[in-house]
Amino acid sequence: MSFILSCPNCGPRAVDEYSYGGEVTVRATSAGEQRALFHYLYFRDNTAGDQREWWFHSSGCREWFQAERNTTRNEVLQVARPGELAGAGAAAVPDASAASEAAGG
Amino acid sequence: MADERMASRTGELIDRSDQVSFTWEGEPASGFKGDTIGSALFARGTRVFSRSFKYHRRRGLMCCAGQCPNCLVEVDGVPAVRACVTPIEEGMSVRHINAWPSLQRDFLHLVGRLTPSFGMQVGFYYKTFIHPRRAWPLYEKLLRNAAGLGRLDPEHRRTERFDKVHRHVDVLVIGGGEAGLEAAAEAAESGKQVTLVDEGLALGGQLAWSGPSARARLDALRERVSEAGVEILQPAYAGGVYEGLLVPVYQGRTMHRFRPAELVIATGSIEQPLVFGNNDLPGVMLATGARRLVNQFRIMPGEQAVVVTSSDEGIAAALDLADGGMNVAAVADSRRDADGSRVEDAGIEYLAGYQPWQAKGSKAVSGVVVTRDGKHRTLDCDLLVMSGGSVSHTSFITQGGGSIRYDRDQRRYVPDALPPGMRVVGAAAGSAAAAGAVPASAPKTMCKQVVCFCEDVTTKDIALSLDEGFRSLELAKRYTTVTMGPCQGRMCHRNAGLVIADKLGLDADAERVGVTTARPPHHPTSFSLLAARGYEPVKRTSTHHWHAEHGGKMLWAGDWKRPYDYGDADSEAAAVHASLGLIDVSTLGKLIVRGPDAAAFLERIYPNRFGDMKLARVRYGIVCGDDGSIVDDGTVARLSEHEYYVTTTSSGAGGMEQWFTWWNAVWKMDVQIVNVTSTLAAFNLAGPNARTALAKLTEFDLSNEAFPYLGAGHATIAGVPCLVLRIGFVGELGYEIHLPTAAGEHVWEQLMEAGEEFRVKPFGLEPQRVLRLEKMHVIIGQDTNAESNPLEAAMPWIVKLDKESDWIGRYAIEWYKQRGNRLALVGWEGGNGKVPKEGTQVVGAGGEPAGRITSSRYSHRLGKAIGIAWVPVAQAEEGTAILISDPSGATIPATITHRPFYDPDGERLRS
Amino acid sequence: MSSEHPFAFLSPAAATGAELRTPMERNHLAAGATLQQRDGWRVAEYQPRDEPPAWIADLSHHGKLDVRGSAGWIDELTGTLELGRANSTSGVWTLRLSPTHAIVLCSFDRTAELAARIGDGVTDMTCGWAAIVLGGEAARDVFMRSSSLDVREQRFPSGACMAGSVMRCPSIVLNDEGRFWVLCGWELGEYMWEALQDAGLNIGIAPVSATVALPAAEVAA
Repeated sequence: MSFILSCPNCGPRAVDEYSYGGEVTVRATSAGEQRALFHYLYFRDNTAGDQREWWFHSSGCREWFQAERNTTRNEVLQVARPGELAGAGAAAVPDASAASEAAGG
Repeated sequence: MADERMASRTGELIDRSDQVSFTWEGEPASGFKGDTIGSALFARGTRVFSRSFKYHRRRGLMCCAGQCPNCLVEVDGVPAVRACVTPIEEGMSVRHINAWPSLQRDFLHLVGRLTPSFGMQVGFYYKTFIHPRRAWPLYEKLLRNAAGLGRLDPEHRRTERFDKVHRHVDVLVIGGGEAGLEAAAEAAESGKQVTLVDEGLALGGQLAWSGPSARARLDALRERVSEAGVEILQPAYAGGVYEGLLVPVYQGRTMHRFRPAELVIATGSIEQPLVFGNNDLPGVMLATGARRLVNQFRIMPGEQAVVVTSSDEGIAAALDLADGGMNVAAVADSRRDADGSRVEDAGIEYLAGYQPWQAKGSKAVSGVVVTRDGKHRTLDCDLLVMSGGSVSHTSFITQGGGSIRYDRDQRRYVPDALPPGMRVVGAAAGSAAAAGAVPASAPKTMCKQVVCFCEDVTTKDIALSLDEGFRSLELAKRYTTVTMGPCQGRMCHRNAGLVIADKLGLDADAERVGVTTARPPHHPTSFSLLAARGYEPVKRTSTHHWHAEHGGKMLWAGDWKRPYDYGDADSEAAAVHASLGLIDVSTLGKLIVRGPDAAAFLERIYPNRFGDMKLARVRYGIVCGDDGSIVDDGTVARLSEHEYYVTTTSSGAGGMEQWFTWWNAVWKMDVQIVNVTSTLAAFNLAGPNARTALAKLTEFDLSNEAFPYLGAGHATIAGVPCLVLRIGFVGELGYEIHLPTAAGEHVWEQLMEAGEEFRVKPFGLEPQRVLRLEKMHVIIGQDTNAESNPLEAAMPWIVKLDKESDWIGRYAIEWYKQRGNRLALVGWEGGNGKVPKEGTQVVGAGGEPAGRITSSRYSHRLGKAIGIAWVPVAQAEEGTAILISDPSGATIPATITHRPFYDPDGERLRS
Repeated sequence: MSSEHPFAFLSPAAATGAELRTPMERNHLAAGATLQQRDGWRVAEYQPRDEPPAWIADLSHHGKLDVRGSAGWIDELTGTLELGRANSTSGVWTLRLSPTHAIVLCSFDRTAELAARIGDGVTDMTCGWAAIVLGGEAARDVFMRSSSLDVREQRFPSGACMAGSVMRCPSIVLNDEGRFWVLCGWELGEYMWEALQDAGLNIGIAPVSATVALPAAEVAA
């Protein structure tokens, strides 16, 4: 992994300056729909193709942004500040399972 | 033997007026400045440079271009140095590798000869050495000793300094041949910043050793690149091409990490050996290798040469060698219809349609038998020049994410799709001149026909691999290790493909056989270069040196260095209980959360409430993931209506900042999150005398009435404005003092001085651990893991499911509540004088697992072992007797308890 | 509760009872420097010498303010500085890192006044970032041995700034007429100081007094 990713604030940097935040997901907002809740919590699309994902510029401006990346070619198609990706769909929230990584274990 | 060179000629690399002395196998040797180890030794008569990998056959110079493995030597204790491209230096010590006891008499060579039929055929270590089974450890030891090229001496210390430099350029050109020089000049002339990397000893690639007209072209090109301002790194080699066009370039003791905007691959082509019997005898050389010796080093590689070839490149080589002064007796061309008139015009016998069958000689080549339609001709020679045509050098293209395709007209692999920013020029991109240059299949012979010179793989090995069912190049690669050696197939992937195609009856073009991927590093590379100047960031608190100077045993704690204790953990803990202790907690994460939405934001981040907090108060809180698991804990102080001061665990500082900002990237609330972990030192002054001691340094009213437990206040302490939080996790009255780092050491010293009359002790992490445990404080990440939710982790009181706002983890925790608890986090005490190890099992009466110990310490204060454990809900009742399994096999009895072991009602904290 | 700003305690300016220390104090003493009192700080004074090919100076006592707010307000404050650009007026540097985030560097004695003038959204980070200035003819060569950031003149001229990884630490870098300011976490200051000197060892790097890093005009301002 040595590809270049562009931070909307800082410009192109080697990927090791960033932390990966996982897929952009849609948050479940009820415990009633157990299936929907668990799907949000534990399932990922793991797309082989174009995927929307979260990135944090941990060695740089320490701000979050979103990227659309082709996961098979590892090609970054676009980056934008949160919620500003072109053609973005539903409300996008952090990856529920990533908290422990964010907290450093 | 004297250094014998031919008459001086333009283009030679040596400076005959400058002699350089070194040693070879401990004996004095010398050469001229400009010589390589290989050329200097060859000029003095050395013909054997190494022993082959498996059969330990003698090997001499073959490519003279650093591509083949034949001349790997040890230089000044560093193994796998390519003799043919490494310049000699005064005083260097050169030794052979891979032969014992000596290069001339090698024990393993004898073994190889005595066991020709079964000894070291492919996969021999699985077959021959498998019986009897119990002998395998012995076999393994023998094999490990025999394997590998060279040896690292564990006692050898390299004292040289290695360096690593990050380089950004507009254009990086790999390869300084004609095409590379032109591409570099062109780019530089258009105003770009260009660096050219060349692994050769002289710029120009083939131009450097191809006669006078080539020299003129080269001189013009060199002038052009120099005028255009191209930076030239030479000799230096690209180690590989990584994603994002990251190219490590190794030059001497420096690794340049290039990130070019554009990468130009101008790596040219690589001449291929021919496959015939004994094709690895010393004296069998590639045509380009012989030409380099003659033209660049003015060395006569033999008295009488025979050229065997399958292409025009061999014909050109024969003419060039003759022109350079060599006696070329004959050219055997495996093609029947090629034009050999130029050879004959030069007075050299031309044998059309003859291919080499086997080389003659035992320690060095003495002749070659060539064959046509079953008719043999024996030709005497002491230099056998072979030229099997060439392949494009495509390693970097595929490593960098490009693809290659087989070109039927050129009969070689050429670039296909290239990644953005990559360009291929010159022979690497394919060459019309190479058309049709594929040798016929190797004739049968009893002699070894080497395909892979690195790993000693012969035609027989590949045939065996196919017979055993590994019927493709990729499988044969894994089974025989063909193309896996240091050259990564540069010398063998074409021939391996041809052999396989032949055996499987596939198209002789080898198109359907495919090609293996060449992996980095491109050449043997010293670990010293890879490891050059490695750094590991160390975080130090403002009082780091005070701790170290006062007996603090500084240990890694995450990224920080912290004192484990100051020599006596027990008495440090005792001091806190009895009188006064001071601990540096500057590593705590510290965040400012402020703005009109600050309260609402924290309500959504935490399971507990913060909106209802009174000013100047502190509250404990935990942070959960949306899956309900506990990820961090800490305190929150409300300093004004819209301003909160949040502390996190030491390891969670960066992560919590990230977590808070992440959610706000979604919610976009009007709140600012500022990480001030670095800005503030924090000390906890704890013990019954904490108030009296602190009062000596401040006018702030510390009385219990004015500043009660869980209060927050601004106090000037020892002349420094501080934020004081009346909290503590060590069981006694305590003040957590936060202040600017630059004043940290001053305030720490003042606190120590003020506490002197109370026999204050600084205490480290270990005594703090015991003190915390006495209060049954859970340590996130120690007592909890990614599956721990607050309901089960004994913190149901913290979860406000009736909060009107949404919050992170709410729905998962609601679900956990519906499901009911399965496990419980509880305290335990007892142990009958034993202290169980953390991580050991709680076991049921029948020895079955029934939970696990997460914390365990001996409390001197309480005179017993105490700890925390996860147990099934059914066994979590207060007073339940449990058994803890000890690794020794014994069981340790303990009793479940729910209340803190020490001061369960927190009276001392509130006093 | 004090009536003043609740986060005033972050600022060392009011810590009049203390001698303020930078994270590299032990390094300075070990290298033979003396410590001089300046504005409440113990500032390292090195023996004057001919300018080495590369030098580093400890500017950790310099005032540093972190400013956050709406993009419009930051625009107003910075005179609509572009991202990655910095300007310098009478010795005060303003760096724009993102639409909503700027940094102000000033002499220590001006910190309080500037913080008050900026008002909400300002955090005194004087003690949050160690500041090292890397200068000399070979400053860029040392930097290239410390970071994969592109600091070529055409990409990162004087007046450019960026946040990025230096010596594997999150840092803020400013090109001040060929001198590189490197701001990193206070707790990493000593490590950064040592690591930069190691990177510059073959180049002949040497530590110098803070005054070498700040031209007289700026000190006077």
